[in-house]
Order: sequence, then C-alpha cells, then structure tokens
Amino acid sequence: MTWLERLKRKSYMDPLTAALYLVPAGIIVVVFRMLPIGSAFLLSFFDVKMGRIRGFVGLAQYARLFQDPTFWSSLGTTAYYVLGVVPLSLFLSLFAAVLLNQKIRALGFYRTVYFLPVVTSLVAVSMVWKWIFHPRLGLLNYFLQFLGGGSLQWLEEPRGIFEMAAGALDWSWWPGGLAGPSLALIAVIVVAIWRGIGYNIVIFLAGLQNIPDQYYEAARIDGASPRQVFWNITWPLLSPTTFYVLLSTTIVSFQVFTQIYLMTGPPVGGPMGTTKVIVYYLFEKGFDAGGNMGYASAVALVLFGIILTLTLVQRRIVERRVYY
Amino acid sequence: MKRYVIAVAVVLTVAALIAGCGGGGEESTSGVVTVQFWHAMGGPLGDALDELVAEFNETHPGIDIVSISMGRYQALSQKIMAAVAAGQPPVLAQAYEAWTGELIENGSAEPLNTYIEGADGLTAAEIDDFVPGMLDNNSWEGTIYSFPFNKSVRAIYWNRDLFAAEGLDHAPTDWSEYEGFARRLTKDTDGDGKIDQWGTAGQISAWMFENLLLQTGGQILTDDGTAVAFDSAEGVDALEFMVRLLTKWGKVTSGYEYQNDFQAGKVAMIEGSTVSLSFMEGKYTFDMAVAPLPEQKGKGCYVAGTNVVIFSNASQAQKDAAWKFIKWFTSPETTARWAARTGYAPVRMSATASEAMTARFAEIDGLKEVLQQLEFASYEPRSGAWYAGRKHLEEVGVEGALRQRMTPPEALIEAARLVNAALAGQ
Repeated sequence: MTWLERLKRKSYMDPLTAALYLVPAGIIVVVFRMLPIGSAFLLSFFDVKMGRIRGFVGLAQYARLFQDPTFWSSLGTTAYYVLGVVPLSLFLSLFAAVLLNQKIRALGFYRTVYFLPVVTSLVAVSMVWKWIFHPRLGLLNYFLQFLGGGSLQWLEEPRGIFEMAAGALDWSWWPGGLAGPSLALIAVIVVAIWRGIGYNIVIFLAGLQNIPDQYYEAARIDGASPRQVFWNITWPLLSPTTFYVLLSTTIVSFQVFTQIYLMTGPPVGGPMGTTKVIVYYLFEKGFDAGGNMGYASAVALVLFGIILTLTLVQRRIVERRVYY
Repeated sequence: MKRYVIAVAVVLTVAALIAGCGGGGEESTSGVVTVQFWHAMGGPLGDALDELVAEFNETHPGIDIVSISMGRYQALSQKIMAAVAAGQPPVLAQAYEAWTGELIENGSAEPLNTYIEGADGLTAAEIDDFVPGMLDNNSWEGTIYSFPFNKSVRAIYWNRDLFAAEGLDHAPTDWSEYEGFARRLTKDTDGDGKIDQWGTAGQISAWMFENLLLQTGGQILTDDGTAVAFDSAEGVDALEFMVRLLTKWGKVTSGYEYQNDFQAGKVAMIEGSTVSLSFMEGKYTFDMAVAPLPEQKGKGCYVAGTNVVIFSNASQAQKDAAWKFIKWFTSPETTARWAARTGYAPVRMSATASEAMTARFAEIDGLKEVLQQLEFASYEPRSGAWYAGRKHLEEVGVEGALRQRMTPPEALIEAARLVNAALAGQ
C-alpha cells in the first residue's frame, strides 16, 4: 500500500490529512507573515541602510525612537484616528445591518449600495474624496455655501476641531492644549468610515442571520417591544460578531496608510503634520532618502506591541461580556 | 491528462512572468543597450524630456534610453531607495544631492571622473563652461558622482499692466519695495468691501523662506552642518517678512493655485521657480515679465532641482551609454533647448549665447537677469540629515507661521527643535 493509498483510506479528520490541507495556507502565512515579522524584529537591532546591514546597535534605535517628538505626535494622531473610526464605524454598521436584516423592499439594492465602497479601489476612492473636499472646487463646500454656510478648508485645515468649535462659539475659556484632531484628520476619518462600513455590515448581517428565529418568535408571543427584543436577544447573541468586528476594525485602523498617503499633502501627513499617522511615519523613516530600515523596523515592532497589548486588553475586558 | 497539461501550462506561464519581472535591467540580444532612466518630470516638463530622449535615441543607434516618470520627487526617492535595497536599481536617475550622498555611502553611485577624463569625456574648457559651483556641488571629496540636470532659481513674475495702472514701472528690487508694491497693488476694485486684486500670493514653501533668510544674512545650518542656525534674528526677520507679505498683501493658496490666480490677473506679482514658466506658457494675456529676487542686506538665491546619477550595478555598456546621454544632455546646445523649453537654468555658460536662449530671452522680458542669479547662487546643505529635517522647517516653521498657528519666533523655535532632533538622529 503506497502512502497515497493509505492517505486516501484514512478518514477526513485524520490529523495528517488535516495538516496536509493546511500546508498551502501555512506556507503563505509563514513566508509572508511570520518570516517578515521575525526579520523585522532582528533588523530593529541593526543599522540598515538601503538593504545593507551596517552594524549592531542594540536598543539604540528604540531609545532614539522614544525621544523623537514626531514619533509621539504621529502616535497621538493615530490614536485620534482609531478613536474616530472604531466606535462610529461599529455603531453605523450595526445600525445599518439591523435595518438591512428586515424584510424590506429592494433589499438587494441597499445591500449592494452599502457594499460598493468596499469593492471600489481605495486609490480611486481617495482621489474622488480629495476632490470632494477641495476648498475651492469641491462639492462639499459648494453644498455648504448653497445652504448658507461658509466654506471650510477640510484637508488643508490644521486647526483642531474642538479649537474651531470653541472659536466659533466664542468659548475663550477653552484650553489651547485641547485642540483635538485637525479637521483634515476628521475628513480622512469620514472617508475611512464610509469606506469600511460595508464590510462590517456584511459580517453583522451574517451574525444576525445566525440568531435562531425561535427566540424572536417567543419574544413576539410574550409581547416584547422592539427595543426589548434588540437589547435582550439581538445584542447578546450578536456579541461574538460585535467582538470580532471591534477587534478587526481596531487593528485595521491602527494600520491606516493608503488614504493618508493619497489624500493628504503635499507633503503627505499635512497640513502641519496633523495627519501623519504611525505607519506613514514608519514608511518615511524606512524609505525616504536618509531612511533606515532598522529604525523603521523598530517603529513597526512598537506598533505591533501596541496592537497586541490593546487586543489582549480588549479580550480581557470585552470578552467577558461575550456570549458564545 | 488534459488537466495535467493545463496545470503545467499555468505553472510555466507564471514562471515566465516571474522571470520577466526580474529581467528589467538586462541588455537585449539585438545589440541595443537599454538604459532605464527614472525621473520625476511630469506635465510639460515630462513632455519636453521625453522629446529630447526620443531625439537622443534616434541620433544614437544602439542606445535606447527608457524614460520612466515616477511622479513626485518623494515617490522617486522612495522607489530608488527600495530598488537599491532590492538590488534592482535603474541605470540612470534624477537625484538630489542628499540622495546621491546616501548612494555613495552605500557604494551604489558610479564615480564619473573616469568618464569625464576618458576618450569620450569632456575637455578642460568644457568643464570650465559649466555654471560655476554646479559641478562642485556634485562632487564629494574631489570625486564627481552626479551631473547637474534640471536646476532652477526663483524669480519674481510681475504683471506689467497691473503695475502700470498703479504707476509702477519696475519689479521690486529690495524688500521695502517688495512689500510697498504689494500693498499698493492690493485693491478692492469694485468697491464691495472685498479685496479683488492681491499684491502677491504664494504657497507654503521652505524654499522661499530659505531665499529670504539668505537675503537678510542668515544661514540654514551652522557651518559644520550639525545644528540649526535658522532660529536666529535673521530667521525671524525673514519669516516675519514672509508672513506679512503673504497674509496682509497677499494670500497663501494650496498647491499651485497662486499661479492660476496670477494668470487670471487677480494677483499682481508672484514669486516662483523659473520652471513655472513652462506651466504658465500661453495661459496669460497680459504683459508679463520676470525679475531677479529683491535684495535685503544682500542678494541671495538658492538653486533648486536635481542632478543625474549612474548606478554602479549596471553593466559597463549601460554605464557608457548613460554617460553618452548625460554628456549629450548637458552639452551647450541641448541644455539651451531644454532650458528654453522648460524654464530650467542652462547648466553651461555658453548656452546663454545660443540661438534657443537668445530667442527665449527676447520672448520673456527679464529672464536673462533672472538666470544671472546663478553667478552668486548658493546651494542647500547636502546631508541626508538636512533632507529629512527640511520637512519640519516647511510643515512646522513655515506652515505654522503662514497659517498663523504660531508667531514666527515660536514657529522657528519649534521647527528648530524638530530639525535638531532629526540632525542628531543620523
């Protein structure tokens, strides 16, 4: 009996067979994920310029990193971005998913519309939105003026939104340090939410459809109000899905790059560096002239550490409320 | 069996594709030497370059220069650095001095002295014909690694018709005239309480600030290049002047909109690179002239623009072909045509007397005087550290002050803090 015949006779659940099936995906994960992470970890201890390792520097790059004011400001910008995108995206996509889960007319149409931004090229999306936000020729300012408002600078506005609001309301007591994210960053956040919502809706819809109908029927017989149904059936039974969406949206938000690269500036990260997120900072430090791949690797590992910690914290705190 | 054949076909196709991707820099078998040339020339500049490249290829059988635009300079630098790291650089590329410095350190830039001194080289008289300072700025410890390619200086563009309406017959020659003229030319022409015509306009530009700094006697970095020197009284002077000029008697626009406003006659004068000429060509109807930058304590002018480098990985045949192209491109005749067409400065002194440039000088009033600024021009620090730090000067120092987020002294102190951190990090 050859090994192939033996393999064929064994049951589907045989561990060897399972391992064999896992090999193709495993190779991809190892080659394109694990090895780069490992090499980034190693490179972060070396001085690397243009692919050439020039010497071991130990933790020096980490020390320099923590002393660079631009690193901290880009970290702050990223935090604003994540705080802006994650809660709103979660709320809006859940809201839309619940609505799309009803038996309404033209359901397929609505589902398609919400999903369209996801399948549209992010590059095209970014360029179109950049035009919409254009201070002089953009659609958004045109509408604002049409409605009798003034025009805003959008992607070219470095002032923080709290600061702008305080200025508009004459709140002179508002502390200058609490300027908030720049309007430019808010513009990027809006696009990110618009773009990412469709994907989350699909995940939520799948979760919603996994909730057995009997619970809803029972609730209806007991005369529960729609609000009670949502909070006592939908919300708890959807919690594994919500948890997954929360985790994945947070991780993806920390890694935002394309929209920043395409929508902001020149120079990218502008105005006044208020949209320079951590991954762009990393890219600049690694690939610009004068860049150092070792240093960029150190940034990548710090970011990895931050995301890992946050994910663990989320698991600790949020997962307790998840009903599997 | 059929399925097996298909599988093999797929594998072979993929393998061929992968092999094809890796073969970018190879020479073809037909005896033609292919030279990949990466640059960042777009719009009219890209068209002009492509035409000259096509002409070179036609007149030089056996050489095929492939001109590839990478978009912006920043994208070009990122692609060059990544390509070098991957061991797949082009043969020829535009490069700022700071990039060349990095490439030299990495052993990736080809020293050009042997080519200059070789059989197909340049005579001493030809070397002397290069604009003073340009070749020095392309030399590192006595070795020439790059050649000046597209160099520009700043100029005042002024609308003679609007100036004449205000009784002004010349472009500003010093700072007080610069501001005074801008004030007089800022007007509410239709009496609705809104200003319709601005004295000047500009974009957020570290280059403009650096020129002003030089004119008022300041300098960018200390002499040894290890620390910032722009956070000086002269720096504050220069930045305060820039802010007054562009926010009281002018406006700050995003990107190149100030050029459009100037073309439309809504702005009386602008400061810009000589290359703006090629972007404005045929887009204005008034009597336009250019003039050298106004002086303050003295004249001051920083040269901008890139050079070309040859990468040492290329084969000798490719390097020889690339050198032929550089020599041809920087010859008095070609550089004159390139300059007349684009607004870049010709890199050879004798080019100014050429037919192409004489005709251009007759067309654009004041261009000759603008290009004469090259004779006393300065060059920015060349270190990679400054290249990385310069961004902070632009986005914190200049932008912070122009958007009135900070006062000029505050903006300079903050920018200096960030630039010094960048300088120390190298």
